[in-house]
Amino acid sequence: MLKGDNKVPLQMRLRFPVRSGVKCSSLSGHPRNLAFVLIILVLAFAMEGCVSQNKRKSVEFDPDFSEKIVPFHTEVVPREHKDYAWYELKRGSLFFYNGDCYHSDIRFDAALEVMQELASDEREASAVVIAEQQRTFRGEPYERATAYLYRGLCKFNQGNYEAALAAFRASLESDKETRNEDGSLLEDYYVAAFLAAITYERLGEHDNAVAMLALAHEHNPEAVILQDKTLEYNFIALIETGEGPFPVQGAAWNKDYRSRNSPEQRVKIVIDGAESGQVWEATDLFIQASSNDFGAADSAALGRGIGKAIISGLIAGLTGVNPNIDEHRDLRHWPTLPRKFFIFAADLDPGIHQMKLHFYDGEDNHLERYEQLWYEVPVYKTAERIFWAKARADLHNRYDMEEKPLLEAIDAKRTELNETE
Amino acid sequence: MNNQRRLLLKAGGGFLLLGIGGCGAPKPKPTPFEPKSAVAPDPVYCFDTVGHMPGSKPFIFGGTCLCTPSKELMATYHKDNHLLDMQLVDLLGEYERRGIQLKTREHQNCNNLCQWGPHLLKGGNCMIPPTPGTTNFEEIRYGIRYQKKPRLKKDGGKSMHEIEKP
Repeated sequence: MLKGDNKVPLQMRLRFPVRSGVKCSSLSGHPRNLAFVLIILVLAFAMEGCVSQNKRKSVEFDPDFSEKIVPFHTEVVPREHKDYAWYELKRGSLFFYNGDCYHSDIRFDAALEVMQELASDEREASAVVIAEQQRTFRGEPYERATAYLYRGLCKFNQGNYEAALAAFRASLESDKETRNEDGSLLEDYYVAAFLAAITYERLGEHDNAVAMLALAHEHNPEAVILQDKTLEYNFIALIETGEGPFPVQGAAWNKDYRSRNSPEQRVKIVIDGAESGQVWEATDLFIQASSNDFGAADSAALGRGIGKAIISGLIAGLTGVNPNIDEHRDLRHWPTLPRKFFIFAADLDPGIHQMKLHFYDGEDNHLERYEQLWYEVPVYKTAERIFWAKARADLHNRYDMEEKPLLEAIDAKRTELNETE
Repeated sequence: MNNQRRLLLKAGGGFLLLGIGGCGAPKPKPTPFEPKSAVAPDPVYCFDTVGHMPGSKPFIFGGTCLCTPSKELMATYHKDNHLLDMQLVDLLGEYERRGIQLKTREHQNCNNLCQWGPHLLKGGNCMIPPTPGTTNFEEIRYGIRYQKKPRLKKDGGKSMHEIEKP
């Protein structure tokens, strides 16, 4: 029970205990209150300093990471959960980035099944939902397009070119929701167009392959890689750099995005010690995210926002307490996406080649820590596999690392196999 | 009044000291960088992606071949005087009897992260060729594991790193 003069306003009595008999017309007039505020500020500033220092931890390379993802085979949330597709996208990319196309394809398929189900917004326009974050996650067009892109890559590397083509075309279809300022279609997900062209060529549909390349070349005339002769190259690589876009806090119909600062802006590929082939910046996901059309979902959100503002005002008028029911923006996004996709194409001798990836920042400074060296990369007579790599600092930093022979595991396995006989 | 001023000065001084302390704490140093050696280790094991190493026989029979059995591979084994008493169906049966998962149309490109993983060499039962451009690929190819160097305590006891590693 608070002591205090009954004439002191309710708000002040609730915030600070006031000595009996003391009237406070303003907070600043009481020395103990001011000291109390200053002490709180001191503690808050000090804690912020400690916390911000604790956040700056360097991430060390963990060579066992790939096997530690095995527990993520277990479903995180059930399919009915509002975040199911969101988790499936993250699980899918976790497996994809560790070279497991088999399981990543399954995860992306599950995510896209939910995301495509929610294509219709009529149901949501009439639903009164307190928080936008409570709605089922369906992602943005660029996220759906990228999920299809990854599925296409997986199918291509499994040799299922029909399914790969369907996925790349679905990726382009998802991109059709993006528009220019004048409202015209912004079909600029060129990485999918290029890979669709390569897939057409693998299927023997040369005319379609040429047409698809021409679609991309029309808007990228300076890209030498988009010429017909590229269809004959036997080595294709997809390189990812940077960190993908994320939505900015605000109203639900706010379409602003930000992108985290990543140094890698350019990539160069050296095969067997010699620079060869062509590298082309195919797609920038930040541009994709920023060019989303104000579509049905956003109109529905705006409608909900107006409705909630009215309800909030009515409740405030009746009770005197503002419930602040707002239509906040859904901040859920696919956090592991890259910023940019680069395509590399070359005509190499079939066999095993050493490949080194060099990354450069915006001022063309070499980023030593981002270097990747792969000792043996297979190249076939035709481009029957797309090589994938992602820029990552310290991926091949061998400081404090050793190469330990797998002798114990091999001996144990041989013993086990002999016991089976 | 003097008490008020003293109290404010103390609080303000504390504010400055702790704030500076928070700002002035040393930033963590980045991990030193040592590039990967330009010279690859000697290849030890072969699998589909890198092609069969002439003369090698299947791992399950004491060799270094982890290739998926096929008619062409059996012909190569016979040519190298291996498995002369076996045909392809017999070899496939040997893998199946041991519970080893081979590459099929339905099961491939898992990079040994499937339910039968890890790779045979690492103690698992998956013999799917590892995915190029991954650490797992190089570890299987060269029969190694990239890991942090063990750190020993001054008294010779094991460090936490060694205790955690099997």
